[in-house]
Amino acid sequence: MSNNRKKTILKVIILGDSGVGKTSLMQQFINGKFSQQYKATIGADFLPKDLTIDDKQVTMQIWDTAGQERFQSLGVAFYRGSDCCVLVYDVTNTKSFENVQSWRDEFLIQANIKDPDNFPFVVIGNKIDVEENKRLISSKKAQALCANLGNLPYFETSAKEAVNVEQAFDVVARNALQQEESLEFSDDYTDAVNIHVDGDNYGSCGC
Amino acid sequence: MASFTASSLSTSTSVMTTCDSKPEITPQKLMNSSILVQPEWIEMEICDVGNSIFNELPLSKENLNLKVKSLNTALVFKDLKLLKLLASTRNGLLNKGLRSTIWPELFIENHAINDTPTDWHDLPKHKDEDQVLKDVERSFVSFPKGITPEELKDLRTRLNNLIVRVIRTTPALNYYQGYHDVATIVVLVFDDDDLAFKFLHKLTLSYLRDHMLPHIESTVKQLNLISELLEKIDYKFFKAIGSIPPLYALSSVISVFSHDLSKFDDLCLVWDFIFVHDDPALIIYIYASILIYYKDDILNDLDELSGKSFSSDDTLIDESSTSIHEDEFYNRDFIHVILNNLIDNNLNSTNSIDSNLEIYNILQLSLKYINKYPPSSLKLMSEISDYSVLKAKRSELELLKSSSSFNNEPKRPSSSLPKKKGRLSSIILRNKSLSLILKLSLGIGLLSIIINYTVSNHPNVLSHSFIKFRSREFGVLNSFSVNAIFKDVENTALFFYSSAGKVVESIRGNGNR
Repeated sequence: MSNNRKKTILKVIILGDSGVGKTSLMQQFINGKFSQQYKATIGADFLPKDLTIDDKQVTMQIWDTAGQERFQSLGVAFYRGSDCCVLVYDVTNTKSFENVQSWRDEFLIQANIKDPDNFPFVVIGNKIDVEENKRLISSKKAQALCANLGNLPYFETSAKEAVNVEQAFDVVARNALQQEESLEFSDDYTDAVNIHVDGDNYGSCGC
Repeated sequence: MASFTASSLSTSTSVMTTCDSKPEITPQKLMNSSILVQPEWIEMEICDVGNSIFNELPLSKENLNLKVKSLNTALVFKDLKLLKLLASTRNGLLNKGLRSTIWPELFIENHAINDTPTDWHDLPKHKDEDQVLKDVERSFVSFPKGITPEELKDLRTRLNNLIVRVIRTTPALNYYQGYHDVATIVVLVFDDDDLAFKFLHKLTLSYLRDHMLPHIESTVKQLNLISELLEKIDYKFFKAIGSIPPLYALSSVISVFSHDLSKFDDLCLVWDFIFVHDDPALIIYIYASILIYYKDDILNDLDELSGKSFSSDDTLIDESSTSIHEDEFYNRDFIHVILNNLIDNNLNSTNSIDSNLEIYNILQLSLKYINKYPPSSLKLMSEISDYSVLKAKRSELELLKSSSSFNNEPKRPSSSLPKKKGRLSSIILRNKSLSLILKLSLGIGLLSIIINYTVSNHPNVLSHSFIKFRSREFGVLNSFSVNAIFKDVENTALFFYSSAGKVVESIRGNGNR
């Protein structure tokens, strides 16, 4: 039991529109494989992965979520206690790119993040394995958005061909660890979160 | 084969005998008959009679044939009660062909659904069609197995057309992820696209419409019933896992388990069961039953993952700690993830014979709970809209309940001593000794004359006096090969099951009076 308490758990949430490849990214990172045959994700679920970051043992809990908008309001039950949030879009899908910011805003509200300016996000543009003419969002455009959102780290990946996935999640893990450690200094953080999460939840449902 | 047929027939015909009020063929008379020596009497609920015949697993080829023929007969005679009785037995409706004929009978019998007046292609595009396409592109993942890319493409085209047709026909519906899983089952069961549409449309409006409102709130309210139910069924267990909202049940409930059960046959069994009882609330009760059924595994997993003892009593009743440590979040996360993967780690991970049996047990458990804690007894039902499928459907069901086999419970041990009970029950002849067969054979010569006469009167099978007559013979001849008497099993089955339905009906009529 004491071992369990000592072990740092990093909670990471993957968000983004339906079909951008959230499940595929998670599977590629955790199991090192890709399949064309992933079912649509309904609700949310996590997979754990043990990592060593600068000699520190951590367990990363990667939460895969549903992309359809109607499930967004359920996030309040899953997002709390997160240490990092990954925002994924599909480089062949303009709408998914345009929604990156709203996914971020929604996350900040539902996870009830106390210090939104310093919460770690990582943006991923997935499916770069497609032919160049199918790609609709240029790197430049994506980088501009990330700069605008507060210099968020940005990666272009292919979950299918395992391009950049490892690198992106390495940054996710480091930022999450930093976030987790910064939280350890604020003792009353968790109580405050708990009270407000419930209150805000009902408030936001009413409108 | 022969012995099975004989004993099953004897079992059921004895029921007829018992339920017949005419004095000349009472069980006592049969017992006193010089042919029967020391028979053993057991008590059995009328609703168990059908179950007792086909509940063996795996079902033997002979029983399977008999059941198929019985189902077909029930279909020919439009005998809904018999259909339901047979569908409630362990292998349900057996196959795709039977399901595509019987599901609509069970389910859309009284609901004339008008065809779309115009070609659905010409109807205005629905706002959710893009989402539909995204989900269709990742459909048919778990089944069917071993199909060619062309077949997959064809299935997906049919799936997309089916869903789009429903939402274009009723544009007020909001499509949700998981609905496509429901539709995959309909595509797989119904080869006829028009019938598939009628069926899915009806299913959508009478089972799924709560989930198709603009917001997900009504779905969440349904899910919350699971928590309350759990609290009533097993308070200690509820204390262990009830701290989180039952969102782990989301995909199962909104997809009527089609998103989560990875074996097509398992899923069909669940659907057979739900349609037999035609009650959307059963979905909630089945889910709660799954939790209860795997309770020990869940508690073990929680102990293991969290390093805490959820299963020990003191943790469960400890409400003194007011502050929630950050660890509490992880515990909640663990609970969610364990429950979210419950079906995958249990039903989907066992072989089909085991999962088949487990599903049967779970379904029977859900019947027990819906009788013991009906939706009307749940406080959270007050939060649910009067237009919810859980309420609109209920009033009809309360009426039907008294005459349906809703009191089915998991297999009970049979007792050799007859007990007096207020409920409708019957006495069944059980034959077990070989010596009895020998003694019975003495009477065969005499009886064969009567039987020959009976067979020649086959067209009269539905007349009640005929049934009484037949049942007396079966009661006596319970250990003989029926094949030897009748020309073939088909006639036997056709005759018997078409009659049985009528008799069960008349018994119920008597019982209700």
